[in-house]
Amino acid sequence: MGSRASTLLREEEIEEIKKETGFSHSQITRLYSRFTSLDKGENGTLSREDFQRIPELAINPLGDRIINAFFPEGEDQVNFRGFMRTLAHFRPIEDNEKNKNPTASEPLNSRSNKLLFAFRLYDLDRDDKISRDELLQVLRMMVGVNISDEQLGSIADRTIQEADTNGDSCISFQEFIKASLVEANINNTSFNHLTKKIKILMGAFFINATEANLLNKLA
Amino acid sequence: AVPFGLMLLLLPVAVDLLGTAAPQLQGLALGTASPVHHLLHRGPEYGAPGIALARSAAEEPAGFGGEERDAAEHHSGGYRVVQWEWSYVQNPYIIATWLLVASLAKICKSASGVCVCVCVCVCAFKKQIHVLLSALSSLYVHVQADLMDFLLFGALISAVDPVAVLAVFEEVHVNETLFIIVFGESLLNDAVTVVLYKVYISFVEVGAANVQTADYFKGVASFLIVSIGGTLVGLVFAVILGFITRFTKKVRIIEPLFVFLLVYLAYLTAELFSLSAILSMTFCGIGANKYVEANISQKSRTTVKYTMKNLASIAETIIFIFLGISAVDKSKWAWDTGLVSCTLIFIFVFRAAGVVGQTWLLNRFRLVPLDKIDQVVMSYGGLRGAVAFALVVLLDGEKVKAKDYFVATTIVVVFFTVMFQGLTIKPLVKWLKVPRATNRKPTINEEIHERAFDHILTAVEDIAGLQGYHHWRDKWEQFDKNYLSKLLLSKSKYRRSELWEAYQKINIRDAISVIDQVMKFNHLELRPVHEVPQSHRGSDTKEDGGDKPRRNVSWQDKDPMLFPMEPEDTKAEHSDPEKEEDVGIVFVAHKAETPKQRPKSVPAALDVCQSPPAVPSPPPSEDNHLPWKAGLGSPPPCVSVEATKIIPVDLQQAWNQSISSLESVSSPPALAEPVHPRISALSRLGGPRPASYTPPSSSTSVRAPGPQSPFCFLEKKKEVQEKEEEEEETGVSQELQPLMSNLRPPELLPPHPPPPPPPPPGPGRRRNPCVYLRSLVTAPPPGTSELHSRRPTQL
Repeated sequence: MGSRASTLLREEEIEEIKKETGFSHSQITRLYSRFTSLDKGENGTLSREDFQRIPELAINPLGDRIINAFFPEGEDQVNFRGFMRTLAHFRPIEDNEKNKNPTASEPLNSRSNKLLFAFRLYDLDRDDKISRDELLQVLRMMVGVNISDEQLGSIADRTIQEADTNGDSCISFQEFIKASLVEANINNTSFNHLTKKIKILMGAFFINATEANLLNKLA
Repeated sequence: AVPFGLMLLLLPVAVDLLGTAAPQLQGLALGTASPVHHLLHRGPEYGAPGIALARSAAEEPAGFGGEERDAAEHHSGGYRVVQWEWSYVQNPYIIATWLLVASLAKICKSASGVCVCVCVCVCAFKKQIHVLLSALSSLYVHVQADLMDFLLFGALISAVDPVAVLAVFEEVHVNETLFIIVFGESLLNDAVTVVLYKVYISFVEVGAANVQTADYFKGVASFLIVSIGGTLVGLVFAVILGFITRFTKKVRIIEPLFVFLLVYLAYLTAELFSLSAILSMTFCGIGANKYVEANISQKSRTTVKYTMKNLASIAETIIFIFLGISAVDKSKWAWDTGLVSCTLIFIFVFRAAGVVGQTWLLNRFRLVPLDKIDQVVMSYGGLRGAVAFALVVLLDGEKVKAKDYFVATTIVVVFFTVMFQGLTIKPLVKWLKVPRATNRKPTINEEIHERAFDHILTAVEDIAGLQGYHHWRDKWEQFDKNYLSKLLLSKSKYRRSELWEAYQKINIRDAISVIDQVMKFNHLELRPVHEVPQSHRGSDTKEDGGDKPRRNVSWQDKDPMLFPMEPEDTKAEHSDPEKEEDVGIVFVAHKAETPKQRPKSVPAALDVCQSPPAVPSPPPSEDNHLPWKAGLGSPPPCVSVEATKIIPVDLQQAWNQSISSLESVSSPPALAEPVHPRISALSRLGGPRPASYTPPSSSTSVRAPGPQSPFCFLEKKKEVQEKEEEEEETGVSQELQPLMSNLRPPELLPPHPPPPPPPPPGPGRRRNPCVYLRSLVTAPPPGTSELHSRRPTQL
């Protein structure tokens, strides 16, 4: 690509993109026209400013991060291939695709790739862990100004505690997957285990308030 | 509810047939049936059966009251000390008795109860069956009706009835999508049914030959007008309702009244313009829900919810009784086998066909397609009910010659669908392995990630230039935030954050469930105490059980309603001029009736506290062993969920007491189960605390590590009282008061020595339950800063 002449996407490029991302022909051409309409500089690539010109993104709490997700590490421009590659994460999962090419690497829109995309939005420093601070930042962005810092902190704490299974006070990608998948989240039997133990101990604790009343009276 | 409906349908039959023993009752049943029909003809369109029943009962006095009064007056002419005032109370008496009997039937809903009733009814029914068979043979006549009549009949018989559907599906607990589809269809059916019915009635009256094409178009147009108009009326009232509830802070007690009145007015207004009344009410509720729920108090919410449920139950009961009674009144219907059997077959077949066809169409646009099983449940779950019956009874016998046949057929169809389909849908659902409604616990992770994913998807849609679902939903939410919520939400609610609300709800739910488990285990009951008035504050610390009547309400842990009040503008100080009338829920731990031996030293921890920040005078020394007395004049420990009353609590002391006594008593069996990650997660609940929390000065003294940390499991975040002065909106933050907020060091030594430092915390096998719990409450792993370790933990 590169020059304006490639506004007409070449067939072989379409084919390549199709194979890589799974989009259909019509989808690719439509997205290409969207790409060019965003590309004000007409140089075949998009910069961050081009994205920020989209009005709805400005009010989106995660807008900046999502824009960043389009740009590969350290670069400031994204070409159409990169654009499509990122968008491919959001294609709906189709089960019949799995059978087509078992030897190929996992398709871009697989569930775990989608979650990885989301995970990378949280994890800015790319250390494959969401630390408490990173979580706080995201929460602050999503929540706005109505919540105080420490309230946010307690939410973040609880989030980490819920998700963290190996005790490192960070959420790894595996823990993230488990935490965001609804069914895997609460294991009732484990909770029963826990409460059984708790109640024995707490039983001694929460004794008889009426006894206390009497004693109080005597006092 | 289905066996119940079954019973109700059969009850009047039984009553009728067994009525030989009670002539009055039988006369009543039949007598009520006929006036009812007459009244229906004159009454409003759906002939609210309840009202009809009442009116018919009102007409009874002519028959019975007169006799009795005459009889009574024969006895004496003087002053009577006690009189038989049957005629005076007859109407409500009869109605109430009917309802009572029907509701009692609900209690014996168990299989044995149903079997008994069914047996009784079948025995009684035998006689009826003979009658039916004879009728069959004699009335085997083909129905005289033409196309228009049949179109009319088709229109009214095909309407799915929301009452019946709701009754059935509430028992079955299918997944939400399916429930919404079927129930929503039945709700929206109203518009379709009303319009079609009216259109065909007018066609029938005019005569089939005179119908012009224009009339068909008018029919379609009227359908659109009726449904959209009804919706708009509902939405208008929703806005009004939301706006009104914005200002009801001072008049909390009549908030439910506003809700009921305005929804009822929405209904009546739609009826006034002959629009769809059910749609109007539905959309009024849908539209107002978000704002009203935020604006009104917790108690008003409860009131509205349970009042409506009760009213709905009454209405459902009356409808089914009415159906049953009408079934018995033979003068009103005529039997035609062909019509009945054909109807039964066709409604099933054509419904299935319709469902399949429309699902095929819908699946082209749906993200999650509806599969075969869903379609089966949808077609099977289309129960006909009272709507069809009311409509058929309202037909004009003169215009529609075949009315009696239609009535009989409708009765049979309703009986059949409710009884047969209603009873068998549950086994069917089980057999088909329909995904059931999940009752999973909400987690804060889900909340956060759900929101994050929504934002992500919205952004991607915007980038890609698609105007998809998320795009529009986001646009709506922006509109709502900028205009609607400002208009309809009271100021303090407007600034609340949904994430924080969700977080608090989760916390409270956890805490409540755990406490309750413990309580149950020890035969205690945790009872919320309502409205302990502020004036009692000073004396509360004494906690004398006898003096103040505590309005205790028993409470189970599954009650999700115990979300704390959110007082507006409240600060810790009780000088708040706008004190919330609704004081929310404060817990008291009471011993349940079974007495149980307790080691004396183990403290009773939870008291009701309305104690002010002003600390009561230091207790006399002999009370030192009572932990809540042990602190330096610390107020009694309180579990106060209610926001305005922040009670500093020294449960840490009590905690130590209990640990030590447990160890000495060693009553609980040693649990050798491995620590589940959940436990370790909870142990880390004791961990990180908000960094900016500044503990009260008294707690800055040295804290022993480890077991001295408060029982974090029960702690809620103590909203920084100091911060409340700055924040105008403190209600949110005051939601969760820590059970043990202040970590008061054990200044006064308890009689028992403080327990020895625990073994190192962390997940792992534990033998001693005390150690278990200690591991829960221990300070966070050494890595975290010590600043954290002082804070009360939030759940």
